[in-house]
Amino acid sequence: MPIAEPWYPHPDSYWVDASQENEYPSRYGDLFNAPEGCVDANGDPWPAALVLHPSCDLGAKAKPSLPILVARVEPVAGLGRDQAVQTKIRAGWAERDGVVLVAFANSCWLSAPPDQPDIDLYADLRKTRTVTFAALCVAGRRSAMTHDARVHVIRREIYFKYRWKTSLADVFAAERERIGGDPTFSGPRPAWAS
Amino acid sequence: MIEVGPYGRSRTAVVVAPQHYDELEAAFEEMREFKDRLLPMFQAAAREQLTLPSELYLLLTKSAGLELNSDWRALTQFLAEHPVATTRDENGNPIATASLTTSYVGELDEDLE
Repeated sequence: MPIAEPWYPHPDSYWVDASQENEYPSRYGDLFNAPEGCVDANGDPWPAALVLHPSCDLGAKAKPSLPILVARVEPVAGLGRDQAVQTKIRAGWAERDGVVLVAFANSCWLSAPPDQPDIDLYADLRKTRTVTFAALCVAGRRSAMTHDARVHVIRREIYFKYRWKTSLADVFAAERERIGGDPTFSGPRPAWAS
Repeated sequence: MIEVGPYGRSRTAVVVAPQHYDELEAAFEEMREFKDRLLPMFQAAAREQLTLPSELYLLLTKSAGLELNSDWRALTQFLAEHPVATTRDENGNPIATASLTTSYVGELDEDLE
């Protein structure tokens, strides 16, 4: 019997509260303003960017020239008036004839960040760029992702890249072990990794 | 709200503007439609553990004149609290599942330039 697990966490648990954000160093999953060079084919800057770079690389040892992978982010409402498409992005799955299928595997839904609490977003994992850590810092972080949400996003990215569905418990366990083995980890630890 | 109490009997009445009365009446009619026409079907399906495809649900609710409002926060909260098992890929093919076994061994503290 397949285990029922959500692709995404509760919408209110996605981002670190803005008042505590400074306690959290930049990590995988954080939301940034679009760094220089992150533009669409017509030259328009991306609405925002999601960091897909390993968290441990972004800490104290990050050099300004370090190349960082980011994905394009835009509001779900930007997909147009097709409500069904928006719903599939928000769910991560779709039901057809009683069967539950992955929907838009290249998408990763993101709840509304604190600076725009009514506008939910999604990252297109297929649209990526490499920018320098310095360019990312200049662009500025919009919001820090919670540790719980990060586990969900990692799980979604694993599915997109390799087409493997992993259990949430496995990804939580892996991230717990990674955090435990990272001597440079700083900031508040999640309860499940303390 | 007005208390009306002839002959010592208390009754409560709510005074609303005509347009709000129409809205209330329409909402009541929608609720009655759902309760009398759709709910028995959904209950029967649930009792028999029958999966009701969402297309059919949408068709039924639309035919009953019910409008489904979109609220992304309510939707995503519901999805997080009531998960389903995704069993197929985007094309309907069986999905591969992987178990992650971890044993963190650290890494060389240097980058390959």
